[in-house]
Amino acid sequence: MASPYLKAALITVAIAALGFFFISQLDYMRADELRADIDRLLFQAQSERLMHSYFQTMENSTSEYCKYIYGVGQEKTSRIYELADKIRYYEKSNLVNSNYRRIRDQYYLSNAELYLNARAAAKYCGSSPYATVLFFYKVKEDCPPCRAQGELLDSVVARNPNVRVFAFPIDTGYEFIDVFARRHGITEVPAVVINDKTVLRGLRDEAEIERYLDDSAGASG
Amino acid sequence: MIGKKEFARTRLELEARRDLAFAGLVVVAFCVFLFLSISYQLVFTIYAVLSIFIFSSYLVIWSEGAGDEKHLPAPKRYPSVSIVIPSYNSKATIFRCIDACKKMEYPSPFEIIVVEDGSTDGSYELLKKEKGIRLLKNPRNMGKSCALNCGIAAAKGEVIGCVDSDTYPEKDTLLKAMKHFYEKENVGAVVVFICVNEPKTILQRIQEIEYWVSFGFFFRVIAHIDGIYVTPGPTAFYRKSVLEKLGGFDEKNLSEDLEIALRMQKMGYRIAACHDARVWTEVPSDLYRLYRQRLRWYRGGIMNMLRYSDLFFNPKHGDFGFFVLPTMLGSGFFAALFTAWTLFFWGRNLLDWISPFFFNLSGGLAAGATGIAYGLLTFQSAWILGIFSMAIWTYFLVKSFEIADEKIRARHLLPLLLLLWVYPFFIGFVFLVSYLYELFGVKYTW
Repeated sequence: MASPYLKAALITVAIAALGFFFISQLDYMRADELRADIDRLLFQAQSERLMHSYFQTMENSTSEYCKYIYGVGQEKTSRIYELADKIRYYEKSNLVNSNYRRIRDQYYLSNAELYLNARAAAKYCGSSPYATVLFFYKVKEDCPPCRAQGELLDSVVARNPNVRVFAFPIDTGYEFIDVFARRHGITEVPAVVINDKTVLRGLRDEAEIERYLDDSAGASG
Repeated sequence: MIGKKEFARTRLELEARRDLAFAGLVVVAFCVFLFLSISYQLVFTIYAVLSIFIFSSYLVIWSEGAGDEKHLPAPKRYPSVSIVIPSYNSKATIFRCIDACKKMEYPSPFEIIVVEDGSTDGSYELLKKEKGIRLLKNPRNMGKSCALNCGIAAAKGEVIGCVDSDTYPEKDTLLKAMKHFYEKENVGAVVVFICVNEPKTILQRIQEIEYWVSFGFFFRVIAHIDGIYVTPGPTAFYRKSVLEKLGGFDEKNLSEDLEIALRMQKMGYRIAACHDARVWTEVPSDLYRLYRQRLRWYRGGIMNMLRYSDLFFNPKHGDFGFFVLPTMLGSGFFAALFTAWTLFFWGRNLLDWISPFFFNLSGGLAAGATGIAYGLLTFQSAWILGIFSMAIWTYFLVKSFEIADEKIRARHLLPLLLLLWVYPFFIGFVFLVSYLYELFGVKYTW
């Protein structure tokens, strides 16, 4: 006579197996979604780099290069945190997929590369009316002012389409992020760096950031 | 006035409060450590898989005979019965209760004993005028168990029916229930199907379904494996000889109905369940009263389970010791733990969303909106397991409605949804409070 509990255990194993099948499907679907988003970023970074090489290789191609870079800048007005948030929450709701380390690596790498491309473009094409903003925050521990600052920068970007914000968490241990932060002497977050010149420490509201953006544009223009 | 006490009383108190409180602190510390180091996903997964196992066990036991209708033959001779109704300030319900008891049809002699337990609402004077009952009176309010013991001591019947003063049996309740004393050997008590009387508020409608599930479906399953752990206070029948051997109800107990059932199980008596005999009972109409009632049940549960911990995993008690008791205690404990976890998890999330607000108004509002959009609405992968256990629960619900002879109608939908999605958090919360109260020895007053 088979014990009812043995049967129940078998049913449980079967249900759990089915459940974990669906769970892994969901987890991989989400990881794929993130990878697709990051692939778009990587593609953008690579095309910018390609245009930069093109401009350095071919003669009289500066205007074409600048036109391309400005065009990209104009398109890029979505939320800066959006993908970072998505990665964070998907990772939290994830049960079986353990590839998030790689996803995060690629995300921050592509972000860094886009930032570098933007600086290179500013050097050759002039930073006015085109501004880059570096934004440092924390992810490992709660940083309420960072979240507020991120949202404020979003609304700045929404109003000024030619501002590009690059957000980097300083507590993730990526060497290249540490290099960026060290260069501007940043140890506390939130911190905002406008056009690699003006360093704003602590939470700043939209009006203040916009004023510095104007100043910075006026100074270099 | 009667001279009470023919039998020696059992007094149950927890002596080991300090050890218990220390053990409790260790458990709490361990839980805090778990909360901080283990992901919500993992906790949910463990909880879900365990529940699926328990639910599957119910499912298997149901399909292996618990679900079959029982048709018992009438016994050669029906035993004489004494109905004992303890009454304390129950003017509003007791006359309907007595009326319903009088109307019960029964071939052998049966008497109704009302034990007046020091009411202050003038019900004693009204009860004195009531014909056809034996009225006993305690000199002061001495508690339900004490009143029951007085009634039992004076009872002449071979079977004692303990009926709450806010519970109304049906005409055939007695006739149907008594057959079950002869269902198998050594039956010491018979429990009946307890239903909610005239539910009005939404909370009562939720309890109506809850009673169908727990006294209907679950009782039928555990009765099949001789695992009934409580002879519910509203109505239960006991052999008088067994009660005398056991020493009556424990007068120092929060839930004397649970204690007597555990004692019966320990002494090797069986408890049978009769599902075609119904009684209708009044249930708390508002949240605070329900909270008080459940706090008493669950604290009594923890207390008595600890008292009878030697039954746990005791081969002498088979399914009762290996399955019923551990799942009873375990599901309560997990419900409490899981509620604590959920409160902690969502509390922390909420803090994460709200705190930016204190640094910058517009930035904080936007951060809160983002937090809700991503944090709250992101489907947790482990919830898929929850969907499976919900599916099994749906089957239980359907069966419970069948046992109660009810069709699922539109008016059941809201209570059903609340029962499945909101009520568990309430129950878990009361469990949590019960455990904390028990651990730190908070005094209970009825």
